[in-house]
Amino acid sequence: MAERATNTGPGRVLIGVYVLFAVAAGARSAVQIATKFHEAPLAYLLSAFAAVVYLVAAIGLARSGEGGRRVALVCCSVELVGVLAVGTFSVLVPSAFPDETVWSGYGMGYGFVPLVLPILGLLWLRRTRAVADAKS
Amino acid sequence: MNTALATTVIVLSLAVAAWCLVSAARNNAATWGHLLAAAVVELAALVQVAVAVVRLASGTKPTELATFIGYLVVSAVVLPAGAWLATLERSRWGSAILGAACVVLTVIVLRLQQVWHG
Repeated sequence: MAERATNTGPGRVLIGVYVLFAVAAGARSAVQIATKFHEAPLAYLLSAFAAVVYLVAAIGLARSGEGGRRVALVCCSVELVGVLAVGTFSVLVPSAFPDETVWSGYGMGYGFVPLVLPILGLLWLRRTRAVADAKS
Repeated sequence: MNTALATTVIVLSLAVAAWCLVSAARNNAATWGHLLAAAVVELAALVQVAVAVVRLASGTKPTELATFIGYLVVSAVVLPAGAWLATLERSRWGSAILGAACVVLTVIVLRLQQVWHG
């Protein structure tokens, strides 16, 4: 293996939190879509999308290797852009989000973890990449 | 929901979380002691699940029933999942995982209270 695996050490903590958020956001949006979709369709669909991204990111980190790393990189980038865009948008146009999403208010409803998580993910990917470069 | 019971779970959980996170900060892997402490918290959490199930069965229902049940299920499985990951990861990060699971349990118990009282 040319590079440090992304699924050990701090990586395992990240995977755990990612799975947790996939379950939390996924279950919550599933309930919301099933029971009151018409109230805030955009918000609920965004939460469902976020849940899928979290799940795929977790799988990417857990699989490690070149492919897993690339998947995780894309997911973390999408998340960071998503939380910044939706966060800014929800502050500027609160009326577009009658109900909360994982990403509105920069993830305030979830203790800002949705904002911190992709940054930690990207740092972790860079760190494990740096180890690879140092070895080769 | 029983406030005293919820408070007990929260206090125990935060205590174990603090222990685990201090161990992680001092570069120590999770020991059997950590896991035993987490097991005690899990026991308290399971008592809470049992109480909630009895209340639900006897007809008291929160407005957001599905959400409540979701949190209830997660409150039962989050510590076993964290403990399992912690035993796989025999380093400071194993302690960090167990500590994080305890913090998550605390948040979930708080949410259970909120959802129950609407």
